[in-house]
Amino acid sequence: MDVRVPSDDREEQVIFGLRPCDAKGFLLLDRVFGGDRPDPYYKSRRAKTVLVSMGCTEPGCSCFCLSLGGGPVSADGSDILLIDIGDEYVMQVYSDKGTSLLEGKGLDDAEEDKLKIAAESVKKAEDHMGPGLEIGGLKERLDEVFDDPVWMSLTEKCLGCGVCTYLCPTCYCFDMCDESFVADGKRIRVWDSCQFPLFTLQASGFNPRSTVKERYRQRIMHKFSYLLDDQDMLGCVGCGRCVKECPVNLDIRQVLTALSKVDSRE
Amino acid sequence: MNNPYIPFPVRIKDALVETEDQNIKTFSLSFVNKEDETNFRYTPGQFAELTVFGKGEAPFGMASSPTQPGGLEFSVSKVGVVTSALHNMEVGEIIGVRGPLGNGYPLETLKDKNIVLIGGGFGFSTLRSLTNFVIDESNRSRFRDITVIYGARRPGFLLYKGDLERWHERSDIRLHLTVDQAENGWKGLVGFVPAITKEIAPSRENAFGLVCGPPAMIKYTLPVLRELGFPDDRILLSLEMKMKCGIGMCGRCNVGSKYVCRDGPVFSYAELKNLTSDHAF
Repeated sequence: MDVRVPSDDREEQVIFGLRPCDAKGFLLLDRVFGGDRPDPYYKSRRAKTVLVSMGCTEPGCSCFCLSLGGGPVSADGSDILLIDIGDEYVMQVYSDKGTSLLEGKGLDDAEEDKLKIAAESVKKAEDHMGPGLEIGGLKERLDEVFDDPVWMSLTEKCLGCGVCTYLCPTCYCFDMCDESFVADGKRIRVWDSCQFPLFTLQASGFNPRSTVKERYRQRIMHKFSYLLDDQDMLGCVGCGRCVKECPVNLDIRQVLTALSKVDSRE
Repeated sequence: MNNPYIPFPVRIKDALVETEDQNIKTFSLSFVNKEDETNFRYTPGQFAELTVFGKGEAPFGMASSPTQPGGLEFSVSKVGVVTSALHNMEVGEIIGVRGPLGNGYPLETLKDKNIVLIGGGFGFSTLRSLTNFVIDESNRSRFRDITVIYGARRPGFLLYKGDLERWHERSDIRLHLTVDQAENGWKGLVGFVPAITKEIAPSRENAFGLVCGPPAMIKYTLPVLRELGFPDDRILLSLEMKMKCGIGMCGRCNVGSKYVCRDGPVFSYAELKNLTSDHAF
């Protein structure tokens, strides 16, 4: 029996045109897969990846990055950030990786008037954000209402389809499976979702998260409470994709607002 | 960089059928490479991921004690893809081991303490490891009274019968075996583990209560220990969860913000009661 690690000959790559919220999501992934015992596969790919993001001059109605400490042109996580000023882009460089990518490309410093146009469109974007979310005290509130029956009514319409987890820039949970052939095989990692019952189903048949209520609650608690304890970071960047794509219009902003208003006093 | 996902090879040395339904076997494994043996330093209560190549991985607590060198033992119940494949394997075949993982029982904290080990069914494997560890002659003087309460559905479902006989013959260990249903010739106790624990009423003086077993057993044993006066930080539970990575990354074995694989599997009740939990302990 011979166990081999796939060779690490991947080329360097640029992820181009991701949004500032996506780039910010990498900061959480860096913590989860970094730390004392880093994930070697993540680490090596991440080291070979440059993030060139595109600022949002026209945020969508489901965007709420501002309430979570980000913003339509936030630089968090980006190596380079582009801002559309009409016929041209203003490019801001935020890291050594970004600097070395642009080295020798003959780019000039942006003129004052162009920086001014960029600043104006940023201001306009910030003023046009969708409804936000009050994050202050939310974690403590969630910890308090964990056992409240309100979760039942809030999650009643959830189909458990998992689309929210597959579009989320900070959802990282994964599965590991063996793919075998006659005398050879691979162990592969695949993205997984906490919204599926098999995610936590134990061999005994016992499932600690047996219904949609527990699974949806896990998603909310993980992002807005557990990750703060564990990694000192929120697991949400306010990209709003889960809001936009949910087939039953379950809006995480409304859910969190409802939870923060539960009267849990006996 | 140290790659935590790579299993090392071990050879199946023996596969002992433990239960009357043949569904639980204890596998004795020997290391293929000397350096893996040297590197695999574990404490009772820790676990490892076993690989059946081509089928996948599943986590199991070490049933052997670090005081027994030369190999590892795991008790495996035949329930899924990996475990069924493992049960079908022959002595001499190679499987993979990734570990040791998790925290294990806090041996330093248990030093000079009376230890009450309460286990049920299949959950007894890491308590067996700990019992064999503390009664080993190199360790026995570091621990005080050892009380073991172990229950199963029927006598034919008690694991580690050889150990149980050896422990029974020793004067420095109080062994209480119980079954839900007695059968001809059964000389032990009859009753569920929580009720038997209540009856035996182990003293809380200078003691720690360690509990591992099915969720229902844990749920009903906890109030018994608390009634007996065991403080919450002296009740230790070893938890089970669905696991994949074993290193706190894949996201499924959490109780609140703690991962059973990384922060556990052993938690004090004082820690657990402050966590939000999908379990109802």
